[in-house]
Amino acid sequence: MKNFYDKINIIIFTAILAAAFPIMIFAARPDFSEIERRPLTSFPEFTLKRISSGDFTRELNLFFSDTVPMRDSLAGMSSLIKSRLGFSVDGVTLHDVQLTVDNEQSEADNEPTDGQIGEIALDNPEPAQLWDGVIDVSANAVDEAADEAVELSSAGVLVYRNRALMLIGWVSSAGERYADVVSEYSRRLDGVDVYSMVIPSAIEFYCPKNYLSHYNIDQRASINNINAHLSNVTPVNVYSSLAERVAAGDDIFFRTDHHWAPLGAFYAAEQFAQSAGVPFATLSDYQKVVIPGYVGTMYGYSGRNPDILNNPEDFVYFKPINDNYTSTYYITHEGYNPEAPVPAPLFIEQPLSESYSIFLGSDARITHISTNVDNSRKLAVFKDSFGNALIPFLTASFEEIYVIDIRYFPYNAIDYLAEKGITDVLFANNIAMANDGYFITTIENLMNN
Amino acid sequence: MIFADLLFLFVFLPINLSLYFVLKNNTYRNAVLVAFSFVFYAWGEPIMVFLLLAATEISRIFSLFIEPRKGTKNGKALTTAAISLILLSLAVFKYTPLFNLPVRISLPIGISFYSFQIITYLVGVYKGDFPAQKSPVNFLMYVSLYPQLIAGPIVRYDDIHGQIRSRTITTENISAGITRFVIGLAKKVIMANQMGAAASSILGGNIGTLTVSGAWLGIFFFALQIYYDFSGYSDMAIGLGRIFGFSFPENFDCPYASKSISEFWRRWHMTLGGFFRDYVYIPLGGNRCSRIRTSLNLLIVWFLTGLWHGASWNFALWGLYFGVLIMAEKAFLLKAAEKVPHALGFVKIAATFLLVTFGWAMFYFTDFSQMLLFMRGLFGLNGNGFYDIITLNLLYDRFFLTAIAAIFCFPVYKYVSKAKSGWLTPAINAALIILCAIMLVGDNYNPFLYYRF
Repeated sequence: MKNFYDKINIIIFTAILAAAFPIMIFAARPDFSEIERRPLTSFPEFTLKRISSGDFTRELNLFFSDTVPMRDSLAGMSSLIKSRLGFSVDGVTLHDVQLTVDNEQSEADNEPTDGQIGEIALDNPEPAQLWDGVIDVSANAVDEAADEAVELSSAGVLVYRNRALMLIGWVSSAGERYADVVSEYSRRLDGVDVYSMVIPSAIEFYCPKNYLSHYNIDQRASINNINAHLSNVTPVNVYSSLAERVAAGDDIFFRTDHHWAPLGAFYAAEQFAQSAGVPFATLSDYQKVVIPGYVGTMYGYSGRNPDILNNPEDFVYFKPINDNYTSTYYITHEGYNPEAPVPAPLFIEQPLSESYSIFLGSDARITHISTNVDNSRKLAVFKDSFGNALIPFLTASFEEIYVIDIRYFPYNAIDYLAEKGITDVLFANNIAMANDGYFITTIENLMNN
Repeated sequence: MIFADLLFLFVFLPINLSLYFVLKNNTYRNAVLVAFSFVFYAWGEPIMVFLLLAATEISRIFSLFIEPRKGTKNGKALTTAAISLILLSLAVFKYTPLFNLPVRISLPIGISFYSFQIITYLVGVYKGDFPAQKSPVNFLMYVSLYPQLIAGPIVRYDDIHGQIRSRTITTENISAGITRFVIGLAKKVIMANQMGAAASSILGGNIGTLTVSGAWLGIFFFALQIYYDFSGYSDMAIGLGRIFGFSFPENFDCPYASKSISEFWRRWHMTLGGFFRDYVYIPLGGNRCSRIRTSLNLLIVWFLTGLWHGASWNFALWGLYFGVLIMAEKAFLLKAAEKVPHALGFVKIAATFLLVTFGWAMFYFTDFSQMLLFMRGLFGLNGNGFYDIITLNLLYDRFFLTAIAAIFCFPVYKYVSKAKSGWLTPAINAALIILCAIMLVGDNYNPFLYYRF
């Protein structure tokens, strides 16, 4: 009888290998992960040199495990299993969190590794059709969101009450340099009003206090410190007004995405408009659009936390009822001609999971907006992706708006602003970026491009 | 290539097994094993495969000259020369980083293991324990046999030279081999990888800010990781060997259930301990000499045992730490421990585990200043206090798995297998292999710890 079960054991093992073998070799393999929002490892390049160095075989292993057929569902199952290996304290689950944090983050640590930016080959070289081919645009956006999130999530992710929060686990004095660089813009831009809005992130408002003190930088203090170091720059301190909204229960940050929600951007834009002394439209001037079932970037970044996947949220944004503006894109992504104007809508429909890219479609472009406001005020916004959600709310405030993503701007910023006759400059970046040495250097370099 | 990898499990292994079992002739089977071993090795070390080839063939040719001179002065000289060559290549390819030389040589995977295996062969031929191997293919198979090539167990030629010529393959052996392999796979993929993730989330950061409980939890996770990682690999090697008809020596015997450090080292990486005992300690005179000389012998053996683990002085320190502990045990600790009542045996287990775990701190940190910083944390000398909320969170986060991992450090499976399992074994094997495959999907590249030795 013993022998009978041995045979069964051998047969079952053989059957599993026999079933898996053809699947591994012949089944179609995915090349993009929807839940992790990244292109999967591609089949390695085959050269003699890469074989002898061992790179080829190493990458082949990666390719195989990364592109297993049905990878996203299997990876989801894997995460589900891993989430059941223990239990959480105070309802808090940590992902990729270091017990301890470095007090100073060096600039080198922040530098994106080779190939992180612009690695995706775009199939469609015709910018004029970009927003028709939604996939191209979102692929772009995914790439960029990944870059940004890598920097944001340097300290891991904390999940609490179905909300995934990126920890900014380092204390940095880089913020003062951010203030200096922004002030330098003001010094070089004679007669232009410069504003600085440092946008706090969700962790500041939704993290249980005992965890917050352990990990996060004190965002209020950091913003105050940056503002105190500004010279000839008007600070737009949105911290208190956002904190009030959170206390009032408004959904001004997403639970499943690392960005703020458009409603949060509305209140921040309102405060900026007051500081700049420009008109501002109320929420009633906008059409509220609700996209249910949204699960944003944080599902992937939280290590596919099942609580995030199973608790989607509404993606709510606001469209001006009167379309009294026109917008034009200048694509600055690698492989495009940034001189070629491309008429394009301000809101570009996206697949559900890419909803945040509805604003301007993506980051790698300069967006020029002309409105029917007649106040001779021309605004340039230097922003990261948080800034995108602000833009629609400023179409009733300025005559013209140039939206410039700091990471994808090929010109000399000072010359460019002078050439366009800019009267107001707004720096709108999230707190992690404003404390990120590499990002600050990028802003600085734009003056010398 | 490594075992805990989808490409190995579901592509390499099925092809290898099919070819092996389709062929009935032992010579062809050996050729298949050599071919697959070379693909397996060249997968990670495309160039260094030639070093392996050279070391193997040169040693075999030496052995042909040693055999007719076995037991003689000339034979001894030849054996010494051959062993010196093997040790020289080990020194050049493994230990140059110790001396900050301008040349950078990358460590060929498995060199520490196969060099020792070749030495057991050369010494055995000199002593006349077995005939020299006439067939280059067969000897190559012994050295390069992929299940044990890169991370042990260290299989002595004596253990398997009969099996090289002929092996009996039985249903029972194949089945037992499969079960052993799957257990090893589960140890690696489920236990070691998760414990490793937990350990690195504590030990990978700024260790200067650790609390006492955080530091201990981190090194505790590492203790579990390295045990499950390494013993899992040995299980897979032994299991695969058994499927192919070989019987490899055991390498681990629930070491964390030991009641003394001496016992721990009889149960941890047993083939390495055995090698150093038989090929270094005893030739040095062992304990059959003066007390001072015996102590010196012990220190030499433990210094070398430590250094075997890597070209970094922290490993030597780690080895010496155990040397000193074992000397203390021999001198008085074991006698004192005998007085502990039998019912309090767990205290001895706990004390041994604590000492071993403390030792892992010397093993983990290759940088001495980091090591000292960490040890200050272990003893609360860094002023960070005893406890913090995140430590608790990290403990609870994988609590069930950690508890299971801790329980399975003890020989519980011996009781499990005693109950005639019937359908249970095939069912558990199937569940485990599917579970492991799922957990490997989308996982980062996760090599075995002992890969670097």
